[in-house]
Amino acid sequence: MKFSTLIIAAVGGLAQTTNAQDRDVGKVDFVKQIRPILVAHCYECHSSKKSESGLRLDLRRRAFAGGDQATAIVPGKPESSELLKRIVSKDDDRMPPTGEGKPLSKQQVELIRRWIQQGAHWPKGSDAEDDEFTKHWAWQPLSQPTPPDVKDAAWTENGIDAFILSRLEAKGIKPSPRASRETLIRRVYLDLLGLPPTVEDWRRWTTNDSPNWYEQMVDALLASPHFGERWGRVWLDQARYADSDGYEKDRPRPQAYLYRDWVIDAINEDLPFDQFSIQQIAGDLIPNATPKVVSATGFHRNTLTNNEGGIDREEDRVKQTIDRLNTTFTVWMGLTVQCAQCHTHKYDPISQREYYQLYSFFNDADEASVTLDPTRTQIAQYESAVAQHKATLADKKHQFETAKQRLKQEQPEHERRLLARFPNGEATPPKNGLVTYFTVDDLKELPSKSNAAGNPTLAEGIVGKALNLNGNGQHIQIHDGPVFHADQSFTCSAWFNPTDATGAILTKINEPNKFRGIDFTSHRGELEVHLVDEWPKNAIKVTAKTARLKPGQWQHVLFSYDGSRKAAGVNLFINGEKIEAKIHYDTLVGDFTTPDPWRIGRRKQSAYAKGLLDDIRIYDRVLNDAEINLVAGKHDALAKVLRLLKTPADRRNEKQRSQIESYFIGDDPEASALRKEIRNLNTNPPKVQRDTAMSIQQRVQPRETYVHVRGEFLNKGVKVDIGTPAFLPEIQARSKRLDRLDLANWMMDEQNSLTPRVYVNRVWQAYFGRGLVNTDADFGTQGNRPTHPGLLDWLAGSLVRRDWSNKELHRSIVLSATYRQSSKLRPELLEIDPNNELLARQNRLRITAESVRDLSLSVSGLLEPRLKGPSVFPPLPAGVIELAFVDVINRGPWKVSTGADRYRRGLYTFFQRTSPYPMLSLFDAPDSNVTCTRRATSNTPLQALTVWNDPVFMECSQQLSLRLLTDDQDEAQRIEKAFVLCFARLPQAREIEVVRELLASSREIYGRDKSLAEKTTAGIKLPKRLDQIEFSAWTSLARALINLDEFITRP
Amino acid sequence: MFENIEIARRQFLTSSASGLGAAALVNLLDADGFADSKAKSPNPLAPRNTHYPARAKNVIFIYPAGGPSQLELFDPKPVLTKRSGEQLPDSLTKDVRFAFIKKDAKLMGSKRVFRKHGECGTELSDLLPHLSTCVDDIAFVRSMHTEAFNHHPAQLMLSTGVPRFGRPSFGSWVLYGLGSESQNLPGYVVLTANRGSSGGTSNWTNGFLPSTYQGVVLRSRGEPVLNLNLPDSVSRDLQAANLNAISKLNQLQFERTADPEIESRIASYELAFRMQAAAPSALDLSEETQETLDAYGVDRPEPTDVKSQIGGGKDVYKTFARNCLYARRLIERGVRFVTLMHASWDQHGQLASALSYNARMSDQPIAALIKDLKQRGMLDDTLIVFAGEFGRTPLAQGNDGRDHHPQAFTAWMAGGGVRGGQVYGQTDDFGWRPQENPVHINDFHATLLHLLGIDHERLSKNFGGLDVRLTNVGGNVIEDLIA
Repeated sequence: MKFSTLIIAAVGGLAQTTNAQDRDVGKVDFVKQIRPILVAHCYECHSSKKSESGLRLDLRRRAFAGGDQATAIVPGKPESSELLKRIVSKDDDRMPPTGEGKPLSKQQVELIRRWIQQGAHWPKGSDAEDDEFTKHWAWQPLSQPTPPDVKDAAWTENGIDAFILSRLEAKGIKPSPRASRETLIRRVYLDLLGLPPTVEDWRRWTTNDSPNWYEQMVDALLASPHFGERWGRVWLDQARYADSDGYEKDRPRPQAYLYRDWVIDAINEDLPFDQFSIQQIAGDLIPNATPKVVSATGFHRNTLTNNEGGIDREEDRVKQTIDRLNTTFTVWMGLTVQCAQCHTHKYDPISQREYYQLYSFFNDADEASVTLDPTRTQIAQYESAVAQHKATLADKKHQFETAKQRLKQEQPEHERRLLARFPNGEATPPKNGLVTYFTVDDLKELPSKSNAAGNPTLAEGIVGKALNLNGNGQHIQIHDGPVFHADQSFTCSAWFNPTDATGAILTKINEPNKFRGIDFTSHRGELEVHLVDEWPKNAIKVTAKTARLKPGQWQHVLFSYDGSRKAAGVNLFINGEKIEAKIHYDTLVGDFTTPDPWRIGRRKQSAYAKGLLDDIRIYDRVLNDAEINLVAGKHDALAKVLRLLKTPADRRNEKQRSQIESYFIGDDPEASALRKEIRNLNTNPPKVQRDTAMSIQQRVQPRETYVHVRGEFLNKGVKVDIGTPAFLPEIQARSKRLDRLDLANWMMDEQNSLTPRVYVNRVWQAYFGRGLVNTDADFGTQGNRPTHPGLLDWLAGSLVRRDWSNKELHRSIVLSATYRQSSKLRPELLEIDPNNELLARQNRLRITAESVRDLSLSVSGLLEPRLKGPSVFPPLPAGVIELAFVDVINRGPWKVSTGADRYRRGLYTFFQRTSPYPMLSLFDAPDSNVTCTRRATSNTPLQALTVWNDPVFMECSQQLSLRLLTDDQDEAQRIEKAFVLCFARLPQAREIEVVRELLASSREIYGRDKSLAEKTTAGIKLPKRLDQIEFSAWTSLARALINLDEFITRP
Repeated sequence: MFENIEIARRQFLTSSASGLGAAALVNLLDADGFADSKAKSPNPLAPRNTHYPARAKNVIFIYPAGGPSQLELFDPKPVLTKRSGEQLPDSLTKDVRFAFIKKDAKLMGSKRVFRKHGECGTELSDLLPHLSTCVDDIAFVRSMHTEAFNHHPAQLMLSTGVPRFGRPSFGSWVLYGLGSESQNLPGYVVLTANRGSSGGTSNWTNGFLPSTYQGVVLRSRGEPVLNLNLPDSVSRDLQAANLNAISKLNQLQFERTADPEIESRIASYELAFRMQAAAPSALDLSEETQETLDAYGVDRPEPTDVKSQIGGGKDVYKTFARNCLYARRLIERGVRFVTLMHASWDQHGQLASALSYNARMSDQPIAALIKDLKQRGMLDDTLIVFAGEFGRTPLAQGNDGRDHHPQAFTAWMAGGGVRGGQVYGQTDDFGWRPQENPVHINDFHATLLHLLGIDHERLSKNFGGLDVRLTNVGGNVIEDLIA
């Protein structure tokens, strides 16, 4: 309090004296008058050496951007400028701080005040010059290098090679020879598709005589839909894609795959990288965006969601928002903005305030969902459903017409019977068999030997008055009601208007005596009938299956029992309609008599009804449907038809005829069922199924954003405006307030050199195992410098020039001579270039986790190549899910997919964040909790155990064995085929030796222990001429081959 | 058959020692700033030298996930008991958030009886009669505090030093720093007693380190390591024949390409093959005397007088006791880091019965482990740590439960250079906040690393532009905890 008053006083005081002075003093010169003050008093802590609180006063844009706590300079408003406040402060926040510099003189303060008042003019070009931040290579515009001249120009295939060769020549190193055709085939297949060439592919490309065979192959593979799977997975790593929420509850996200489908499609269609990016960052804001484009923002929905009990929702939202920001900047800009979350970035020029300015872009977004246009399959399903619907409708109508014809013929007979039943033309409920009838119109005139317990009152009834029960046990007891034995039939009925959906209607039961008796109750709106000798081993329990009583409405309820001692002999009715029943117990063998009275509105001790009851009837027989209709008050229709029937048939008019006809239809089970079905079909035509994808949408009212002091979201610092860091190019707003689409456009703007550099570097990294910039996620001042800066810019520039075509970028890398070199290690270069930065050869690369699976399935012929769709559940070793949190376990076991879905590519495997598919994790698939721009490559015994022993891979070995043995070939041919399938090359003599040795020793072992061979063959349909030992020996060989280093290595 | 493997192995060692692989890999390690390899080996798990002389070589980390109640186990609070039913002063609860309860919840004293034990006179609850006999070897830290108040983030904090995803776990860092002494077993093993914790695999993740350093779950039921067992149709001699062919074919490929990664692959397959024999034997308790088995209580039935399903389900008493004994057997075989997970210490309700159930499950085996290690002379270089992700509130949740309490809780350590027989740090009268010598998780980790001979500021790896370490940007070694 004391401190802020002081500031206001100080600033206010100054303001009073200034107006007069302004008139007679000229314009303040920044360079001559202001900068010297800043240099002398402020630069020690607020320039390139240090930027305390994120504030720098040596660079125009940084100075105006302000520090973490406040805006330093507000042109024209000295009183709002923190700079001025602080230099005049008398408190301990004065600048420069005590002990670190003298306070500014009055004249100096006055100069600064006036300078700000006059608009704080800071001429361009008057920034500090020796600034390492502004000079950092990565934030310079793209240079437009031409590929350098090289001596051995014949070696080069395209621009890439000139850059690479030029450095090699400078060091006097010759590039490696071109890899063999076989190696190139396998290399390109694994790189572009993540799948091996089939035998036919391999033959096609090894025998193609065209000098352009390689280009033809590359173009064919770039056009393959599997390209989108292979490179989609690379993108999904960055998008931290998974199929569950993460954290403790880790709930499944059944719609997540729609984003994966979007990525695969976008890559296969070669959606230009700028569009690819803008749609994911801000697809929801693109004018007239299609649902599919909006669904691209699913990128931001791959954040984790914490549903732990007691979670602070806002905290989780903040975490998600921070993750969205950090991920976006790591993926597209290669910037470690996350370092500025808690304090100003230690190395890069990003202040904490600027961090939260960026945060504001994402803070304005909310989670949403978007309904996609129907897919082709869904349209096909719809069309077939429509056709089916039409056919069913026509069929039912036809049947209905036939039934009506029949009824027409039967009608005179029906009329005769109806009139005979109601000779005086009156429709009233039957009196025959009515043993207890309680109208509830006057409680003083109860039937004999009955009493009202708890002083119930009366209220308006369905007919006359009704019993009004308060739920505290008020009820009626009838002591002289009928006694029914289990072999007798009877019917109980009442009108019921429940306030509370649980309550007894009519009972004769003794709960303490093992629930013996008759019980007709509503339990949460579900009608229940108990007929109990001894609960539950000698009892019937039947309840309504789906129908429920509605509170606050009059409904007629009725049940009948046919004396069969079978649950099927109990029928339930609501409003005269028989309802579907569910049988819980059907064990009655004894009887259910009790000395208890009949009770209306409660059991002996429980189920106190609350609400209205009226017109209680007990019959000593089962009523037929027409009678039940009458009891249930459907008098009107019957009365009306009886009236109509008075007119002789030949004198009835059209309307009368149709009304009578309609009545008899309703009375005829077949015709009325058909009529209902037709109505149902007409009101429920098929609908197109559509998927709902996860997306985000812009809030109408933007959220206010504050600096989170020390990164703590509850600790709000200064309020910040939306914006981008000052050291990057300026952003343009499309309208008044900046939004995510502006940010996306800005990221893809040609001013912004980081985006294309970062992207081409990542693609390069996947082809060579290491980026031109090795720190692919840190292009800041702490990151590595590019090994080939010219090449990086040439690739980035080419990407932009070629309209951001992703496939063109891939094509140019794969066609380069650099890429096509042999990967054989060159011992002579180890000293000079241990990490192969100069690329005097290719690198051998362990294939991805998914590819390890895909290759094994592919060579064994098991692979189901179907593209896209929901995630699948290949067999999972026992005991994996059990290690997850109890909620995951409780959702039930991993339901192994059936049929071809067991054999889908690895990228379709359901990814449960807290319990990932072990095979994928073991081969370094990321955990999907944070973005992964580059996978580690490990080499562990657990990997060995997996491919060796896991049933999935065992099955692959068996199938590969079968595949090799099916053709009528000799051993040598089979070994050749095995090598072509697994390694896309022919075996060498020494390898054939080892293979024969393994076959021989395996035959010997299986020969000794035939049970092993039997087990190997279990479940396999062997052709007749094959014996189990031979099949097993080849399985043993297949097992060795898929375990070789070469098998899981891109050559 | 087996001779061939030996030959291949000798070839491998020879080619490594003089070969290309060694050069490339050691170079990589240099770049990571932790290059003190004892042997210039291509094996990333080769044992390495430490920054200072190590007091401990191995760690057994007992991880009661969920947040065990320090007030019922370790931290007696007579004033709290006296003022049961009152509200806490606003000044204490002002900035505190709760998961389930509200600020106006009432104080609840513990119903447990605390008594002094051992020569040091450390007070422990009557729920821990066995641990009470070991107090002279144990340093209790009653002033622990952490940064997160939901389970998963807090577990990440305890496991990785920050309440966020992406960092390597404690065990991974230790393995990365020290390598493994075991030729036949993984260096970092995780044993869980029945159901998992809310943190799942992120509690033993390698984070951004290679998966070589991740915790390997040895399962207490079925095969100890996934796919450790041979398929039904494969015998050990078939597997050996297979390994022989794999090694030879890989060797031929190595001759063609000179890629040292192939040597690592050969080594991995050999280790896998040895592990298939070694791991089941490590978990074979038939080698133990009845006396030892009884001391750990591996055959104790579940109690019938305490009914608790939240303890983790069937046979959890046996499983937990066995895990403690497995831990000793694994350490004996050179495993560097063993984590014992048990996931059911989240007593929002049923505090009396469920905590008693858990205490009876764990007290005897843990005490037996300490005594067993001591008797075998292994306690001197083995650290035993007991810590959950946070503690529980002095405020009641319902009438028999406590909420999450990150502000103050108790952890303990024993063995390997720890100055036992002490209580370090104090909480206030309510057990609300540390009053003396607060110990942050980063401090706790720094101290444990120090005991292992590692400078927590030097054990780091550059990731995403930062030199990342287990202790994040904090961590002070607590000298008083060190003997």
